[in-house]
Amino acid sequence: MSRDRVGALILLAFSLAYGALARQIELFPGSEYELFTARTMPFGLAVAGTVVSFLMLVLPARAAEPGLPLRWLRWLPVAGLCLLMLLYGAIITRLGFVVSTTLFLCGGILLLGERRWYAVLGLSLPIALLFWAILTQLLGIYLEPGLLF
Amino acid sequence: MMEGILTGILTAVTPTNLMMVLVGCMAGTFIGMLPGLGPISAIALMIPITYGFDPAAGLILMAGVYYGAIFGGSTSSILINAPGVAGTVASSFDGYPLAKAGHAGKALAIAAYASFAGGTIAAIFLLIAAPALATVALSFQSADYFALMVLGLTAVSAFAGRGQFLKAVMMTIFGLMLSTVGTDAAEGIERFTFGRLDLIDGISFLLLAMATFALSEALMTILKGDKVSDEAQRATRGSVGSLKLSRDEVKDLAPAVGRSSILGFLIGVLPGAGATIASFLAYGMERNFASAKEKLRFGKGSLRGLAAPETANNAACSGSFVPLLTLGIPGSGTTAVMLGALLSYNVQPGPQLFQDRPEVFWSVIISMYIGNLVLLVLNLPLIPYIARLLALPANLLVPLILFFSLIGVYLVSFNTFDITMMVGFAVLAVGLRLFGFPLAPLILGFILGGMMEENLRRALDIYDGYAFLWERPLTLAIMLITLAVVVVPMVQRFRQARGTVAAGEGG
Repeated sequence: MSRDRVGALILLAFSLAYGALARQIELFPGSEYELFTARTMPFGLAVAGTVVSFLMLVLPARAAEPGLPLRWLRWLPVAGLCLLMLLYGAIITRLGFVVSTTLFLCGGILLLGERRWYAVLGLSLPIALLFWAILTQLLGIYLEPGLLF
Repeated sequence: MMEGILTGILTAVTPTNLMMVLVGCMAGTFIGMLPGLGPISAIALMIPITYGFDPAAGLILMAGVYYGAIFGGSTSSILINAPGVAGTVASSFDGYPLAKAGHAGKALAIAAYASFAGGTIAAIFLLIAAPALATVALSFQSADYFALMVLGLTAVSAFAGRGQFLKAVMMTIFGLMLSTVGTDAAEGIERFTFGRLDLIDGISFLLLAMATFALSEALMTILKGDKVSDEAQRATRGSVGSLKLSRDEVKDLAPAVGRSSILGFLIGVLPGAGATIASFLAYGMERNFASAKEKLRFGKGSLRGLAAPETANNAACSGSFVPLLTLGIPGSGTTAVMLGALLSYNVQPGPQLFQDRPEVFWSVIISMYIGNLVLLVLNLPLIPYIARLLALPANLLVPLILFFSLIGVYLVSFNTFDITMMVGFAVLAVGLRLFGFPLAPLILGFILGGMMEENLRRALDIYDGYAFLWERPLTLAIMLITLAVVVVPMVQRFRQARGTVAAGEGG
């Protein structure tokens, strides 16, 4: 199955699930007789999404430009960066802005292959401190202190 | 009107706002030059910074960023044949051969002068067209607005390129679906919140824009393993040569610039068309106008071949502000992001903006002109130095982009769930990119979703049904144009396909 059709199939499933959830939107008593309710737009979109994704699935595919083969892509660093971002979200309130940002930037730069410690730390720490200073001292934004800073 | 223009000039030339244009142009040039990052990402990255500003200053900064990003994209197109933005692809056709022949400075100067001229002429058109359209738009009703939004969304899909129509429509619908998450504005009923308090206010526009553009573009750079090319290394080391143009060259380029400005502006006004189509059409038009001898130079370093798309893409940028400012309907992904930013300032663009907030309306238009001037006077001489950024390694750049995006969204809500949601949307956007789905229609659908629902609800209430679609002439006319936008290209393609089959059978 071509990549386009896989995409269409996923979106068809999504549209159907969206439609099923749209039917569960609660309405006020008596509003089922109204012309437009909170369900109308979602339901219309679900129908439109189902029809369009179905058309994408069944219509003859145009010979599209071949995309990059998926196995050639560098999945590992990207997965690492996504995890790192999630981790950043988890630690920012606990460790505080400066520590968590320094750790995030160091982690990201290391993940992408930089091994020179002065490049890793020399970029991460000043940027974290600079931003902290701009936000708190210049713009007056209150950053909740974390456990460490 | 004169009073409004004067207010606009006075607002635009305050030291703070002049600084905004300056910073915006510089930041835009810098971001636009970076591989993979275009004007949408550049503007999205600026939004959190502008939250504390007054609307005029914020919008002025973003307009500067928009122009700067287009200019930055042109620079990487010309110097290293790597257009960061689709709107500057046509500039690389002749710009890169010129740079390879040792005339990089001249090519950059033509790009800057042409952009300046295109922007200036388009700003004058904008000055005339926007108030006129705003006055007409005052008579528009909900039904017409609904129809206009349908037209805008359809046109964006129709102009998405061959074989991309259904994909773009699907992304528009997906964007509209995402806009329904949260509390229904009219009835206060929760929709698709799954009982989570974080979703009651819906998905933040900034979060979605950052995740689908800035984050996903940065992740795609790593995914594809883009390395700094040899050209980039060379461009950052060597000199770009003279920036001067001879009088004959200027004389030769002037008509091309004039024609392309008009074409670019008109294309920019159309919903969904924008800078990319304008630049390609201008390139094609100039080639048709050229003499047989000059025609041969196209693609090999023709000065006109570079000036035309550069003029047109800048003029189209100004043109795209017409529907945004006068109707409140963005015609492109970039103006959709701007609309989102305006809404976050509690400024509703549209005909009322022209009357109620003339200082915002006019100062943006005036700032566009100042922005063009800044790009010419300041950015051009600095280009050889800014070009060194092209060689910045991705392993240092990407974590910084990720950080700016995450912190930009976090600082608005101080909710760590937003970071989780951003990562989710970024992964989704990367998946959609790999499947070849365009993302600009998604953001446009998301931005227009709420307004579309509100206008449809109001139109249905007023007309007690769907009769407004055929009873109101203006709505009917807009809906018929929408139909034509879909059907005409389909019929043309069908005819072409039949012609090809017939020719194949015949011979």
